[in-house]
Amino acid sequence: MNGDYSRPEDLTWKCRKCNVNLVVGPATLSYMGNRMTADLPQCPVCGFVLISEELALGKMTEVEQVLEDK
Amino acid sequence: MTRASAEGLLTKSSIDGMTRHDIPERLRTFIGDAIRPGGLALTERAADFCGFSSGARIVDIGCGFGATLKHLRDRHGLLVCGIDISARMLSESHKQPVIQAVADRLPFGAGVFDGIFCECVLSLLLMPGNALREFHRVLQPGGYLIMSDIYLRNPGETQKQKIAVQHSCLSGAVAKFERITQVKNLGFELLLWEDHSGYLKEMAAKIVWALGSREGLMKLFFPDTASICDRDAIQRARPGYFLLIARKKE
Repeated sequence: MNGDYSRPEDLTWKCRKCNVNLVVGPATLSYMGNRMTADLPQCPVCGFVLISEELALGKMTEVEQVLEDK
Repeated sequence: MTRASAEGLLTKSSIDGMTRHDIPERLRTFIGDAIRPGGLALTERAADFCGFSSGARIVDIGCGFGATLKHLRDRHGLLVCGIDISARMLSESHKQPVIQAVADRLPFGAGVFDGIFCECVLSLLLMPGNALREFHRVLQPGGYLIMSDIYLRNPGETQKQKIAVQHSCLSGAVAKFERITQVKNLGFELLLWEDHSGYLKEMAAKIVWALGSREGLMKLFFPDTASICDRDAIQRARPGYFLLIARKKE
């Protein structure tokens, strides 16, 4: 699953561990045995991915409900 | 993320209304050139099962952008050609041998093919039985029919409520028993039926992710003219996805 989900404000975050700005890149999401790829803000060094509250409660929830067969 | 407008994805059928709706071409941006659940994975599964010899003659019904043709030619060395109703999609089929035609009037002689691929197409047709008769005619005896499509896992729900709209490929889906019976009655021997509903969910998830909501998905497959009752009835019927392989009896 591709699709860029990033807002300008997400890229103002820094990874605390690596002390670098986040960049948008492919991230693998997994839910109920389904794996998908999406472009999300992440640390270019350690790969830690930022998932905003808006994304988690918005379309990520909608996708989960599809995969739950609801 | 680009927010796509679901309403902008539907187009009018270009040839005398043969399809229930045209395949939304912008689906390509979400799931690639193989515009169907499972993509080329089910194509590969079927090709392996049939074990076609190099040079076997294959036609892909509803070949779209030619992804299956390219795969079968490059990976299996098959002699391929395709038909599709959409001249625009054919124009982007990467120089594959293709013909603009409809599935129930195939421009081929009898018994000329070793295999037919029909991937997520039959449920779009107004008269699928006529198309299946054509498939039988153009296959040689012993030739393979490879079909993947949407089916209803709980078909009683649509029987309780007559579906009034005929706008969606989902309203062309039937139950497993009905599709198998139809294929057998036309002179095919059933070799394989597999449920691959996980691929349908996966495709739905990709579309929801791209459009941002399940409502966007519903609008994509059910135009505004579809009633809420019809939409609900089809959802309760639990659409799934299958792979069927049959052989024309000798």
